[in-house]
Amino acid sequence: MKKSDLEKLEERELLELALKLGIGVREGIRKPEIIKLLRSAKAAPTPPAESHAQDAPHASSKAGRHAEAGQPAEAGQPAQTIQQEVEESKFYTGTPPEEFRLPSELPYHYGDDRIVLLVRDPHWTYSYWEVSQKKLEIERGNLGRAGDDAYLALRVYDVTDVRFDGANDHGHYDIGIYDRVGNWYVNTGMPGRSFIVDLGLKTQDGRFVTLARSNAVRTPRDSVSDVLDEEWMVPDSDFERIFALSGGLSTLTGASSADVRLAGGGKLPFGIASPGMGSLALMSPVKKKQRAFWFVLNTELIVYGATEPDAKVSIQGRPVTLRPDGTFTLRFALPDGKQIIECSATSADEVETRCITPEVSRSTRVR
Amino acid sequence: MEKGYLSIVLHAHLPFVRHPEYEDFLEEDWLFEAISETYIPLVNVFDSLAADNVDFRITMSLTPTLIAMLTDPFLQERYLRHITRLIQLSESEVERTRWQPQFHELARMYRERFNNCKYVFETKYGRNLVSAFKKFQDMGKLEIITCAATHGFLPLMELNPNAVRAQIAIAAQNYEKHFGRPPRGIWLPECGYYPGLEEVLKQYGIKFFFTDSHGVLYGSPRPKYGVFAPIYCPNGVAAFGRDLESSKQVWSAQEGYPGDYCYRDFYRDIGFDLDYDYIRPYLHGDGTRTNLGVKYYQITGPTDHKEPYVRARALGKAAEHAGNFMFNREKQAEYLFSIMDRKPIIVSPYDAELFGHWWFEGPEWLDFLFRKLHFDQDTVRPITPMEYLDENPKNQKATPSLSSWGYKGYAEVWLEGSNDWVYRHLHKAAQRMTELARNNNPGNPSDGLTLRALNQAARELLLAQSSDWAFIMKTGTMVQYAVKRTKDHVNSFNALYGMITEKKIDRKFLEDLENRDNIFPELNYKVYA
Repeated sequence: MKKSDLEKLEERELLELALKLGIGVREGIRKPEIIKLLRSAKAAPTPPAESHAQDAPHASSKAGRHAEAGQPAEAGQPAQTIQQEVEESKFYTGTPPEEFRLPSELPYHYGDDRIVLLVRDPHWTYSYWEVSQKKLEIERGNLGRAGDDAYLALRVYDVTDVRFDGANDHGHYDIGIYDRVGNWYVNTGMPGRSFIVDLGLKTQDGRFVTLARSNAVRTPRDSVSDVLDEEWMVPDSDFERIFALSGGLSTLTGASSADVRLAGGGKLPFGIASPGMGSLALMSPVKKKQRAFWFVLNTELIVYGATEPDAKVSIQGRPVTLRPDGTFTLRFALPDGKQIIECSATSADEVETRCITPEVSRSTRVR
Repeated sequence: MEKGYLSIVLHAHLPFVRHPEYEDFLEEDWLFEAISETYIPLVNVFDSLAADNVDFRITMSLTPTLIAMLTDPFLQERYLRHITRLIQLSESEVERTRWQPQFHELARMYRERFNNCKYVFETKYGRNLVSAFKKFQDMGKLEIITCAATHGFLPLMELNPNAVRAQIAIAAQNYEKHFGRPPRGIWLPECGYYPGLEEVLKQYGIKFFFTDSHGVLYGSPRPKYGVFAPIYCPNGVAAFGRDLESSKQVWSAQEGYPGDYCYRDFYRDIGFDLDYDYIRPYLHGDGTRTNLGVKYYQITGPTDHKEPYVRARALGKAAEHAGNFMFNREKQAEYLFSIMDRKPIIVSPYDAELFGHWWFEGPEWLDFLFRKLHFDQDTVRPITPMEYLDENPKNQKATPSLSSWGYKGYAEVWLEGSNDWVYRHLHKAAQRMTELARNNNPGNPSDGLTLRALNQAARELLLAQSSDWAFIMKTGTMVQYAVKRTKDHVNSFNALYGMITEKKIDRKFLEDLENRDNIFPELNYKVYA
């Protein structure tokens, strides 16, 4: 199958084709990658007759919109997963396993028509969505001819302090998207406001049909509140001092800085003193990078021997435990200098004693 | 008379890692290292402070996952195996270093420490360190607080209110089982708060929680005392904000105490330094070199050349740093007291595993700090949040702002390119769990197998929700394990969901899951309804 033929297919159809061929695909895989996988797999059969190629919607105009409105969500897993899965699938014989086996990959989607919005920080939200092929086809059909080249889009509504009825938002804007199942970081740029996002079909003449509506979220404030409580009032100058101290900038040590003043927008330098590490980072921290080349060398001395299993052995005056067969081994880090190693063995009846005293010296030159 | 209060808060947490299906398992070392290097040293500090009548106050979270592991007979047995091996290793080390006096002394220190760990763990506290911490709570010195059941990052779970409620309900139930009373406070996982969460906390009797500084400071209405007094949420649950100055003194990579050149270097470990054949018996099955916990060098400086560690000098430094910390808190409290019309509270929370595991001298620093606070001054009084609220019941009402203590202060650590893919699955599973809980009543279906499958489905969901997995994916070490854990728990959940819905439960599959993921035996899936 030619690359151009594959590109005509929808992502879902490509996925199904990949599954039929026993090619494992990871969660969140994008169309170009599936095509690459399919093309690298040998002897790709022609797609089923019923799959109807549709034009990929407006790839050219999208890039610009994306750049303004957000950043693409990166794929979740390391790239080698694909290769591993392809390798694994080579050995898949097609016989179903006897006992239940857990799949190694997560479902690609759940067959829902759904969009979800999450808050990342005062300026960014994140949404993920999925819409069924069936729903998409019905809505395209309802649009008549305009449905043929309608494209998927997100519509971001500012719904601060309103009960949203689909029309009473403070304003909205659209982001063209690519996939029926996907995700996107939306840069709302507005702290302390509420948002809802619709997943919809947008026609070339600008009509928008909602396929799914998200939950409402509110981005957090990124500065002190303007709301004051009469009972708990404090002069501005006092609050400024409290505020600076709360931000960890000690006026005691003279380290206060003009940009933490309320006049400066009331921003705190958070992150400076954040732990930045959880207990897990503490459990196995990443080793510091060593210099490019290095060389270490150490010496150890092994002292070993044997005697009657019930004899008493000592080395430099300290008793040595024998193995059941009367042998023993000791190991010493050997520093520079001379070691006089007095070893003695005494028979169990304490009648006989033998002493062996090796002398070892180490001296090291380094250049 | 004191001019302010100091509340030291330690957050002790590890994710649930338990793999009876393997003879030994690398990631189980997290628990064993934390036991030897943090939990037991802390227990020893508390014991010694109590023995000397030092009136200390520490607030400490023990997360439900950590409690589950500390009280699990299988992991207790494995810890004993682990520490017994380390004792053997330290005995060989005492022999091996005979001709190197500096190292020899350190080897003897490790031998003594490891033997002490075994004694404290096995003999003194009968393998149950939770009972050790409880002892200090019952003495009124330690306030043990809970945490969400599996350390789920709650701001990204808000979409599934039932799942949030279950995280809190199960935690509260688990706490009561181990400590004989409901929890009064909670450490929100990663300090992750969203407005409205306090409603769930109140439902389970929780009276206070903590936020990062900006959680309280950006609260609304504007909090009069910044982070130096708690605020009451509209429903009366109190929020305490983190003090940045005291945090920075301990945490900061540049100025923080743990970076002092006299302190023990974490990275130089005999697991990497010594001859492979010699240490091989102490490594895991695959023979990869790992840290073994015997470390002979001091930080020395920004150099690869490290000098041997000198214990006495490091302890002297810990005492000096404790004195410095106290002095700064005294000055801070005096100054705040002069501009506030009440006594300020300085809240200093830290990951417990910082003390001992990472900062080797951390437990001794705490010991010195509380002794100095007790004997040497009257300006700052150690206090728990509960005691503070009892003494200062009138506080401003305000709603904190959404926040966390992660990098940049919000949700980005757990929601970015490496880990954002998990939420689609976690949210769906949570939604399905509620569906299962509503459609299945206890006794109907009457068979025990379905009931067990329902409870196990809840356990799989909970374990998938641990914020630790997303955190690991972001930080980039051991990523494969975190990805696999997420996928396995979600897939196991989905499989159980399918089996329960189709009324065809695979007994073997269920039993395997029950044996491995045996957390919260008391769990009742109805909590999701």
